[in-house]
Amino acid sequence: MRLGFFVNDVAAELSGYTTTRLAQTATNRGDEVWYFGAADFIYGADDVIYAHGTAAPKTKYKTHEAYLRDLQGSQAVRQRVTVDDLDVLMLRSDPSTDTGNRVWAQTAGITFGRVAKRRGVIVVNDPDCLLKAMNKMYFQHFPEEVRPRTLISRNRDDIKAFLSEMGGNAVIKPLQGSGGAGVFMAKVDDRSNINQMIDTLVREGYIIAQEYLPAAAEGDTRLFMMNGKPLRYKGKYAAFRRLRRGDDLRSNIHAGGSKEKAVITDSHLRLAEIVRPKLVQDGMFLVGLDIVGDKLMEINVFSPGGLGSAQQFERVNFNEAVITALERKVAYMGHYHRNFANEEMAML
Amino acid sequence: MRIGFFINDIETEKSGFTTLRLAMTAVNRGHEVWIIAAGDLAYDADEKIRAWARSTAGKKYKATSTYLKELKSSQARSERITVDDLDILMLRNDPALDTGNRPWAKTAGIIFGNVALRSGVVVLNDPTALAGALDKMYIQLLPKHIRPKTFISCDRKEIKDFIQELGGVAVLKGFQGSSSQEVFLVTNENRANINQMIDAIVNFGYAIAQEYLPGAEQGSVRLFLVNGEPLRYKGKVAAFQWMRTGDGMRANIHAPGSTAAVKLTEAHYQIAETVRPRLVQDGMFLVGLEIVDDKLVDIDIFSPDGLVTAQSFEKVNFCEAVIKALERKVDYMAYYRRQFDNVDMATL
Repeated sequence: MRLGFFVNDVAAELSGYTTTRLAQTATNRGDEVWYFGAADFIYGADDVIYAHGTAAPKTKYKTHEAYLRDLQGSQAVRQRVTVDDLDVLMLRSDPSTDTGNRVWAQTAGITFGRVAKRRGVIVVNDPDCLLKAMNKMYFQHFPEEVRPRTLISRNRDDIKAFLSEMGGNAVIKPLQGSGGAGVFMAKVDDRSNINQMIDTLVREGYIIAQEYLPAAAEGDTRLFMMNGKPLRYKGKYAAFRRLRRGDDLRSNIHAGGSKEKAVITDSHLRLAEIVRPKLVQDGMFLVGLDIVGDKLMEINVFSPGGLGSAQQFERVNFNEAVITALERKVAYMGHYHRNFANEEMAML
Repeated sequence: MRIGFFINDIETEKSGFTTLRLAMTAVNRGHEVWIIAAGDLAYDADEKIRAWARSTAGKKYKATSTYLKELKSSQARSERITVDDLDILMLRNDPALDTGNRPWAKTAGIIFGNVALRSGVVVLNDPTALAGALDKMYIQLLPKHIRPKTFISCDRKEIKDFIQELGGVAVLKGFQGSSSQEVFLVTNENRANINQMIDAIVNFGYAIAQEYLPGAEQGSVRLFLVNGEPLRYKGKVAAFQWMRTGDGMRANIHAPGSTAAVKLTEAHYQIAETVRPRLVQDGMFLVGLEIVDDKLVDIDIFSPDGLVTAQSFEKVNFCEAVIKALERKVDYMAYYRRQFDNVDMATL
């Protein structure tokens, strides 16, 4: 198949990224694999979508490190690719890292992906639904019982009233933007700092205040979902546990902290089952759930990372499961002459 | 009915704005009207959308200046209302005005509006489609024959090649930015500056280069569509001609220029007919088309302005027609107990 990976910036990719592992796996399986950065798309005068693509020169790579070295090296193949002719375009950029002068890059993949999907390219995750997920309100559209109690406002009194209601402890973070930046633990006995935290966040927009789950002190479980179901390959779940390091509230990978093997419980699987209908409706092919206790803390729909960590603990190649799933979609699309609703194909 | 108008900020509203005239018309027809600014929404812990909103005490207003003055004064009612209990929420903010300091404000109405849909509030224009129209790709998804020739890219050389193909004359503007900032007309005379013009745009994202239409010299025609069709009331169509006075390239009504009555042609109606299916599909209730020669150069779906201008030339109250169309939707929603797809209701 002809597969494109859309990333923030090809030169800034790291070998440990899930995207790199997926791309290497596809290359080794004989697929044609292209990388596109945020600035590489072209809407041509003939109404066709093109892109300046980058590809690794060889057809087999032993390691993802070697693959990325070649992709970023001087031997890499650089070519103007017709995006409309790709079989699959996988949107794997992380919008939260494109801030400041690069805010325009946050939506580039979605914007051009929305056109490509109308031309019969399978675009995952579905770009129209990713657009809705650009802010944390997306999470509030999942059933109430799987989420911590939440308030969203720019009004200081609203937020303080909520803190009191929650017994004094809550997590506050920006509604728009993510990545662990600007996430605060607000405590009632820390009155002097609460106003400052709120003011800092209000300058950037709306604030989410969220019930603090005591179990979060120990860390969380990341569980991958594919085609709306827990990603299971050769009897193993694609999951791992992230342990909190010291006082740092941000339990996501970028904030450091160690990892260990996850034990997937019935309560995890029940959560996965509850979010499934919405993921299917929205064409969310590959998603990472962050679970604390019996609640969902976050759903990463843009560029869920850590498939390599899951692989390390579970000893099966989950990348192969993902690429095989894409190949199956391409075969379906062939039978239907590239004429099938993208949101549905994304989950088949 | 209970209707909310979502705007950028009460301080920047002007008495000539279409939004204020619509609000005043609704008040005069006996409706409960609330004005909600971009920062005043909240998602409460009980999962309801609320807002700090303003309303006036009077029953009838002759001029929008009086109405606006009262809205801004201390006599205005300021209350925390439940947005979920409104019949209609009109999203009337202009995202272009919030590009600089308040990027979060651009999408606030869309984000909260999407949640209000759960309670059966009719949200117009449909927030999902609006989210996909924040950049200029929306117009590229309309049929080719009604658009000027267009090229979108970050690549300086490719942009120059396209302009060369057009004979050296083209309009150059930001793809994601507002309609009013950094619009250049590249000609064979100012070709020496082409690199600077491209840089001024590409440094902030994608550039859109477009065929220059000779008719743009004179200005453009603005035509309003309601429920996907030209807004016709008492035998008159809501439209007017905008004529450029200065040298500025900005062919929008906030730029220097004068207005006049317009005699619509078959070509204008043909364009309206061509965009109709997409507008209906997207739930676009109130839209402004910007037409030059027989091409659509812009489509304003966020906060189309100038209805009052059309009113002054055609001598009928188009605002009344818009409010009546909303009243009809509220009746429909009552028959169906607030259970009806928002996209479909938007153009019924």
